[in-house]
Amino acid sequence: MQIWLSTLGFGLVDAAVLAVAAVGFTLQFGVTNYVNFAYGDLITFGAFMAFFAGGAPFGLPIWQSLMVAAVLTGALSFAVGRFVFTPFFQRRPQLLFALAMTFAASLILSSVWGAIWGGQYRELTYGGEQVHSLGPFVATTAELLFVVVALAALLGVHLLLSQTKLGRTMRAMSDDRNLAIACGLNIRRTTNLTWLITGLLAGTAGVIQAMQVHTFNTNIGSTYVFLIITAAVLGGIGRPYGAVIGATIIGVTSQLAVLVVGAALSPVVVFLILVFLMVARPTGIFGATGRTSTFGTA
Amino acid sequence: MAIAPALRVESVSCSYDGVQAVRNVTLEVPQGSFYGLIGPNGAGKSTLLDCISGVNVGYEGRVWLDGADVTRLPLQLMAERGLGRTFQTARVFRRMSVLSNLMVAARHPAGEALGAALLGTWKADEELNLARAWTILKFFDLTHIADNWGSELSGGQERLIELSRILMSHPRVVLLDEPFAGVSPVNRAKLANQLRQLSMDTGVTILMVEHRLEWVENLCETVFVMAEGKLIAQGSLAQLRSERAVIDSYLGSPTK
Amino acid sequence: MSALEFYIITVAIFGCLNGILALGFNMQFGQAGIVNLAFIVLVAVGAYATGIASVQPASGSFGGTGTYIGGFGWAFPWNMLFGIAVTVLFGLLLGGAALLRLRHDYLALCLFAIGVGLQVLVTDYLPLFNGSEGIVGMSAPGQDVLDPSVFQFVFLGISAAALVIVFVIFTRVTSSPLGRAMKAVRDDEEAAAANAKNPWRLKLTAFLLGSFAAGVGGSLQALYIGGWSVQGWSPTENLVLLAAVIVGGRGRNIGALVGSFIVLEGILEATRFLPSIGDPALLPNLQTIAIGLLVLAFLWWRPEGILPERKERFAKPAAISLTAALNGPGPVVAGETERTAEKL
Ligand SMILES: Nc1ncnc2c1ncn2[C@@H]1O[C@H](COP(=O)(O)OP(=O)(O)OP(=O)(O)O)[C@@H](O)[C@H]1O
Ligand SMILES: [Mg+2]
Repeated sequence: MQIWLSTLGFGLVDAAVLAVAAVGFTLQFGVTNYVNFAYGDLITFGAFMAFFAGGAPFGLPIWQSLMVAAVLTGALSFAVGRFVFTPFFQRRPQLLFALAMTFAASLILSSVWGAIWGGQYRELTYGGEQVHSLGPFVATTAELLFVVVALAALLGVHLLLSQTKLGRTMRAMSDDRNLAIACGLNIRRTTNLTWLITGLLAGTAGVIQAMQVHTFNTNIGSTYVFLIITAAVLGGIGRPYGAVIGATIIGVTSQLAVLVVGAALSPVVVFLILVFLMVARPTGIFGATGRTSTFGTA
Repeated sequence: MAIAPALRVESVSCSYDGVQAVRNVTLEVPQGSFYGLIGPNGAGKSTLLDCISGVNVGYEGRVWLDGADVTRLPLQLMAERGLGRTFQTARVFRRMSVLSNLMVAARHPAGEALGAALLGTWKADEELNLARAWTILKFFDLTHIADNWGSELSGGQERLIELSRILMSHPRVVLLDEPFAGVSPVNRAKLANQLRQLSMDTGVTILMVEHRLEWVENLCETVFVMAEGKLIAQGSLAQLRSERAVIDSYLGSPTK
Repeated sequence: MSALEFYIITVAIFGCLNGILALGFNMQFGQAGIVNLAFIVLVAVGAYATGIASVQPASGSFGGTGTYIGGFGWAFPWNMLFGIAVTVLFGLLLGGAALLRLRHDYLALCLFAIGVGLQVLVTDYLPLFNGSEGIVGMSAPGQDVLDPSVFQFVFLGISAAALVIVFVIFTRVTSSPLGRAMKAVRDDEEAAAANAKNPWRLKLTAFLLGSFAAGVGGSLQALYIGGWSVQGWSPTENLVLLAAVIVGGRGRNIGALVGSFIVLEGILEATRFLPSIGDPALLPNLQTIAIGLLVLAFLWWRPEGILPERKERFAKPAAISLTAALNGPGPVVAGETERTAEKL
């Protein structure tokens, strides 16, 4: 019993980080209405930025590294979104081209990371090994802090979406893009800021994920994206609150699955969830938004 | 035994999250007739066509085609049973030539099965279909654009291609959504003649949504009127012109 | 046989095999509009299945460390046929599930995630295909008995024959009413359904044909290389196929072949002999960047590719009457003739 509860605790830690990443992914999809296959490469970038900010010659403390990394990833996301993706979507709005384009962009980015940083593993840790027990759960200081940072980021997104004009515009664009355009909302500015914000989230998630797994290489983002997409689809793509629920389910299930089928097979469980969603409920728990929500009956 | 109506719609209702677009509509279209469906913008006409044709299967109520219950059958099965339709915004296959657009609609060409495609046992069918496609294009005076890309057409041409494509599949019932929209005045008269000839020559049953009442009057024996999702009247247009409800909701009073 | 000749034949073999894969990817992407960024998974299934059919059982092989399922020790062509059959079956399951409800970008997203997930799974779960070490030790037909230079020619013959077979099959499909219906579904699924086309069946057919090509190509690759591991089916390999089809021309078989040749020989082979500087992983990364930029450049300036899709050509139609055209073979309508008579 104890082992189940403590595993549940690890699952919740995973879930918190995954939620940050999945919210960023789903928000970007909802607002821009284009799939960004390069999202995982932003995660990688964030992890590496924190690694370098913390190492020589900068030697920043970990919290400052985290912030620097998040901001730099946000900036990269903004730059790619504003100067590559948006002009591209305008010139070639056909879905086929957009998908091919972000897929190519993803591999370009990951190869750039590979060319610069090679394949070797780096280490990013936040000490804090002391173990606390909270009721039935056990967690290290570091894990508790990860959860706090993740929750803070999610709270930030919640306030943004519920309290600010920008957030309301983002939700309007996500719910009905044409209506938002017809209402004269500032589509361009909102899109640009969405790239920035979702980049911040990707960077934050990347750093925490890197600290979670301790050692990482340039593949960290491109494999993590499997969990991110599944969580986003589970919550109903385009729905940030759904993504939080989806991430919670995926994070907890994949940790519990480790107990049942072992670590190597735990992706199978996530995989089965994804396949089940595809066949039985493609709109996820809360229904997808935007173009994907129109499932022809033919 | 009386011949079953070509199309029978019973208590069909349909809503888009919250908006009740079609409310409890019941109507019948007899075999071989040419009926109209009119009503103000947003009355639910296109939505009703979507429900009947299975584009939208999330409706309540029942639909019969030639006496067979076809309730909530999806689009391609409805088409297989002989229901053809055009869309309010014409749909043309853009990366195919106009002639290919027609050829693709031929009903069950033998070569659509993998085995037949590999063995090449579809050539005889193809010849007949080609002759038919060409004749239909000629009927609509479209042979000069037969080799254009589907993406290179004007709006009016797109409508005619869509209509010709439907004819390739030998429909028994055709639903037309504003066929006259975007067609130039000269061609409208021609299109009206063509539709009339079609109805006479093939015995096909037609239900046409249209805002241009002169053509509705000209072509349709009986007209249904919808407003706010409901069927509010039915009769010849001449009768309807004097009905209070129809004037209020759609026609407007002549003094205005 | 000189080293240069040997090399040229090797390049030709990979040209054929990659051409087969490009044809398969084009069947899904260009012909049916399915953006399958997990195509390479199908290739991997063919390669792994051929691998485990060829090698001996796991116990004791690879110095006793290898773990994998199967190990039938079958010879050519049984191992290859097994590989193709498994791939088509896998394509049936994957395509059948994915194409049932998903459309457009949602389909692409889920297939992409499936590809990444399977990559993670095969890497981490050793008992399946020996993790990142992969399966080694299968040999191509005649490799063990023939003189290496003779073997090169034999395998080139096999590869070229496979390419021709796949090309002929695909051309027959794309120039038939079946291919036409697939294109209609690609252009507008709803309108195609309104013309009595079954989008799911047509897309699944294209998906299976693509799986078939993936099985053939993957199987032959595994046999020629003599091994198969996770590196063989990274997303980069999928980018190579995407680039081939975008550069050559979507929706045209010959375009896919030309594009595959350009990408493979123009970028991958041409840069192979660059002096290696620093990290051995640098060159593959630079190649991927170059291919990615090539894709972007074509999408920006010439999205139809070098050999754009063509219109169908038709023979001169016979003249028939309008009544015959409108009343040809169709569903039988009860009482149709009487009604027409009445009206007239
Ligand atoms: N896809 C949709 N999603 C949500 N609401 C819709 C959708 N399509 C139509 N509606 C709503 O359903 C109602 C009926 O629309 P419909 O298109 O059937 O009207 P119509 O009678 O065809 O009008 P028009 O003459 O303008 O074509 C309208 O209130 C419209 O706003
Ligand atoms: Mg309408």
